[in-house]
Amino acid sequence: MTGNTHPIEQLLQQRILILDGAMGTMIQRYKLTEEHYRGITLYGEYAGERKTFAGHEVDVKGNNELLLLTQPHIIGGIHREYLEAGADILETCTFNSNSVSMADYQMQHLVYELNVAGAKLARGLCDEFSTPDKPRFVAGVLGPTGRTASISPDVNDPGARNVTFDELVESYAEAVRGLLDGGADTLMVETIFDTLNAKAALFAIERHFERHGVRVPIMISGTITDASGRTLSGQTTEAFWNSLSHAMPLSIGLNCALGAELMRPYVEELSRVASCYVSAHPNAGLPNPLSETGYDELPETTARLVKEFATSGFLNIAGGCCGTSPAHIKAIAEALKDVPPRRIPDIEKKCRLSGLEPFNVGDDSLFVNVGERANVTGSARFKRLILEGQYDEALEVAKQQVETGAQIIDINMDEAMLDGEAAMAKFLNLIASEPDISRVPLMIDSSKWSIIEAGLKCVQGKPIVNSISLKEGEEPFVQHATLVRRYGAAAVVMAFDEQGQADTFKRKTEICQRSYDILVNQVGFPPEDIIFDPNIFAIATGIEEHNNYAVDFIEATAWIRKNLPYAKISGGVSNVSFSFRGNEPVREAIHTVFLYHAIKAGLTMGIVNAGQLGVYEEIPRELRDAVEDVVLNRSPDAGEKLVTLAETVKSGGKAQVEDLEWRKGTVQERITHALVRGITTYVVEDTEEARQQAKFPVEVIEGPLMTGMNVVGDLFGAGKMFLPQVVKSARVMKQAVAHLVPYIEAEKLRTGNTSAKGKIVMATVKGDVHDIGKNIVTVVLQCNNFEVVNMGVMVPCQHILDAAREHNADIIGLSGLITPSLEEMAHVAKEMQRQGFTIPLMIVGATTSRVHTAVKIEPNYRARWAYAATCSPTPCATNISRASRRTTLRRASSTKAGKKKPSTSRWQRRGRMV
Amino acid sequence: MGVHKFEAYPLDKIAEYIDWTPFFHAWELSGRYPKILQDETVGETARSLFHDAQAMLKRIIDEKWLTANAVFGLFPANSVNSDDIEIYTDKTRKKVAMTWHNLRQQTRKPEDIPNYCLADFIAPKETGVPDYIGAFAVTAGLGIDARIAEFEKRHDDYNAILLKSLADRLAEAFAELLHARVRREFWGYAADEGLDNDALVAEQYRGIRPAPGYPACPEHTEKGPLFELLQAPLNTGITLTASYAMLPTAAVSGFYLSHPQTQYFATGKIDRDQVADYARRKGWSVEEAERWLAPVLGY
Repeated sequence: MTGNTHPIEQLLQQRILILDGAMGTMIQRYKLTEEHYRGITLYGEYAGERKTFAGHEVDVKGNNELLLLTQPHIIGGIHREYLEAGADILETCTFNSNSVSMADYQMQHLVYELNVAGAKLARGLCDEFSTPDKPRFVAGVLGPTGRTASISPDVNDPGARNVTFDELVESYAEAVRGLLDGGADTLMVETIFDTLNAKAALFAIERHFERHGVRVPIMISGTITDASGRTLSGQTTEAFWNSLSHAMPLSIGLNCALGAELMRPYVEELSRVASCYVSAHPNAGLPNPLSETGYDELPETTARLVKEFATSGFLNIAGGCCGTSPAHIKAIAEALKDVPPRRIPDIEKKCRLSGLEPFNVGDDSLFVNVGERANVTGSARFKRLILEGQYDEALEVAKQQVETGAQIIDINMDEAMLDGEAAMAKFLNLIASEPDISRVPLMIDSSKWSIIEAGLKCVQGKPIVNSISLKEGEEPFVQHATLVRRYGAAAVVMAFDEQGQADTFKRKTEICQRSYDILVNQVGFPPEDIIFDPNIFAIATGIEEHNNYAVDFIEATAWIRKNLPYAKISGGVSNVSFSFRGNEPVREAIHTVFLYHAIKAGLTMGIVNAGQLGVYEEIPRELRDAVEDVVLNRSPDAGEKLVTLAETVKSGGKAQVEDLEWRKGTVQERITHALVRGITTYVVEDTEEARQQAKFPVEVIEGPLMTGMNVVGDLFGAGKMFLPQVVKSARVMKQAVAHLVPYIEAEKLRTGNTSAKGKIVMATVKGDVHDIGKNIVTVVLQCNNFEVVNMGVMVPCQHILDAAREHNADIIGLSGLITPSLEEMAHVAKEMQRQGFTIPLMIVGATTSRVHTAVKIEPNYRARWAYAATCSPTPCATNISRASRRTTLRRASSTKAGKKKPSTSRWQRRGRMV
Repeated sequence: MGVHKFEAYPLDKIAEYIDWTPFFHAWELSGRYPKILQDETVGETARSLFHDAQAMLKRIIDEKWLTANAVFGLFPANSVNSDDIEIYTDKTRKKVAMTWHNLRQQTRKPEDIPNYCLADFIAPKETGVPDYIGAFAVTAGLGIDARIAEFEKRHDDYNAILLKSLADRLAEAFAELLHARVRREFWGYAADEGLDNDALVAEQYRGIRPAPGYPACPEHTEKGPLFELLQAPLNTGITLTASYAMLPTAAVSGFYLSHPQTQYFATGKIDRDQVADYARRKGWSVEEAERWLAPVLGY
């Protein structure tokens, strides 16, 4: 509350205030008929103004709020009874007066009118009963609506929702307007079973306050639906508080569902964690179907239980919910008459986040790990899963991180091929139905505000927004921060302003200070919910001005801790060691030393690869000192020294022992090792050794080299090696083969035999010059013992065909990147047909397609064709193997062919894409 | 106004503008730079490749393995007949230097979404608004053949492919750099734009540079008049093949559009009526048009 203390708050400081009791179960006692609800039949006697709904199409019996218009004296009478019983606060009869609930009666058009009427009626009675000693207050009630924004209505589709956040906001906004126009003193969001619905109500309230320049106290009351201590949407009591505390309510409490007895531990928990007043209005015990109102707990029992809450120091406001009557309220009021109210405890300022469970980060919290895998920009696998719509598996990615200790999960859907807003909403809605994931808070990560906002509308907990900054100036910054706050989130604030990203201590601290001042003083953003990211940049890059980057970050961290009270600090740690990529031991040491100092300076959380963190004390002394010199920029040549030392760390000591080890193996082992690791140093001597042992030089290729390449193929097939490594393996292979070629040629001359699996003429077609992919394919095919005649680029049709004849080729391969090459390929195919070729034709290239090949090539050349989606080794080899099954590849000797394991089968394992 | 060229542009300046993500894609490593370097699965390979690339990039720069040339021009322009853009020789807008023929999206779309054509982003002639357009051609691949031949002689495909993939990145980076300079200095409509490389990669700036042969203008022959307009072969050393591929391959050419609402889009498939219309505008037979438009034919 800002400004002067509201009268209700003044009273709360003095005593426990009494809330009224049930409305619904009181109305039940009147046993009203459809005609009563419609107003056609008047209940009892009443001379005032009222409405009738004789011709309404659907039945309205049970629409208690409608009685405000048709039988206002009934509602007024109940209010009066509660005031007489001693209630300080009267709740308006507007529980269902919102468009979502009123849709059941097709009475959405009455929503505003009902809220005005409800508030006006209570207002008049409160004014009548108010005395200077005992003023009475109207609490404008906002019920939960009949729908849930974070729970699916369809068990088979956990991502489905029957109401959106935006729909709820608009629905609540209309009710809020009516309640305040009717004269409510406070607004009460109650019987919350889905916290996201409540967040929508609070969003609508805050927006109304801002638009109309008014502000009244907000009361919040949730419902623990069963003895497990959680709301229907799965939150624990403290998580519930963390999710809604951004509304800075006058009070928070619990009502309904449980009777007082079972409610006790949760009221106790709220009273411990809440930095505002605490309320409880329990049911009259548990339901008893045999009772007239469904509840049968006696007034004295309820009063005794509630009194025990009060004497335990839990309560500021007490009343009753379902089944309670004026007698209950009277008993409660009397029981609490002399019990002092709960004193609001000093709650430590912490960044209080939540999923289904609370997660509080204070100034002395341990370093917090943020899980980074559910990120389409950071994880190839996650991106593929999302792009392919495999959300179940994507959820597994998120789940695994929680299982392995991530305390917060970062979610990022920034991918050009995605509808980021929709993907974010869908994924978060699915997470909401996975308690193993949704128990932790989420970090909604996007460079686009619209995606962040879409995410914020799907999260019942208190998430972190990553990120906002002054990058585009103050206006959008203030606007985004205000909304972050209104949606109930904390925020990562990047040290980024109109001039760019902060690199020096001066810039980092200036921008953080400026951001902090704007957020705290102008926006009213709680400082404990600000998480600065002062930018971690690479050090030891060889550029002098980079040398102090780590120091600048660490000092900025310490400065923020000292000068910007309660603010937190986060960062992407692995950036710092960027210039040592490829040298994991040194990187690990840098991260460890950097974190050691950064955490000491006050770093709160970070995106780190936990596997890359060591223990500071366990780093070898020499390395640690060298790293520390670099991290702390203790001498101008520290970087160079570390680079020198890094070489020995990388290849020295342990590594040299390993070197010797692999050199001790058999020729086969050494060749395999060299191929897998891509080491060319010894390949000629090893190949020569193998040749001397072999009967024919060609056996070295078919034996040791192919065996080694098969290992490479297996690793590639298993996704454990990648193209750059395979091309390096190929370089080893080619150098080995180059050594053997003279011997093989001599042998061929002697015997007239060739041993290749098949001969392929490859060319980039006329008019096209792109050949990176084609060269990769060539290399891989050569490694698989195909003889490839690579004709280069811009090869005219007739040259290709002549070469194919001259070399007696088994396959012709055509490649091209630009679209006109498709036409040229079709032309080559036509010429092949005309000139009587029967060998397979292989089409590859980025713009080719299976359809194009089938439609444009096939009619031209009826022999055989194969198509590969890209010039990657996988589909090509697969297709060649398919094509070759349909033709007779020339082999050196048929006896060998039987024994030889076609290496292409290895590649096929990854050939799903064809 | 007019045509400007850069010869042997400093490669170190260009290298600052490299977008590394496509570099990794060329090597079939999927992921976004720099996060790919920390990727659980491909991180190690990516780091090793990046290390090799950095080392080679340093040699390319220090030992001047490659030469980067560029040419660009700014011209008065207006759209005509809905889908064409007339580019004029001078401010009088009397003499047409070239007509850039464009295609319009023809797939059914929701009611509030227009069927885009690049000509939409240039003011129609009849409005009398004096609009402008830019054109450019850059290469970073001059001199590459000798180096490639050396590597291949040593059976070193790895470094040969590495060099080609780096040259491609440099050409793209050069295009990015030149576009930024044009926006901020030469054309100057975004003089106060202050974007870092990440923001450039994310295309957060105003304006686009569509290139013939790419989705927004998929027809390649438009490179012919573009090259004439810029005297590109003479000014940069880039030539076109019979199929309108650029040589050296590490080259980028296209147009600059500056309207705040410009955006990239894919033309998608087009129907017979538009093909016939396009043939008429280009002075082609329908068969010829179908040949050049083969990839986008919707029938």
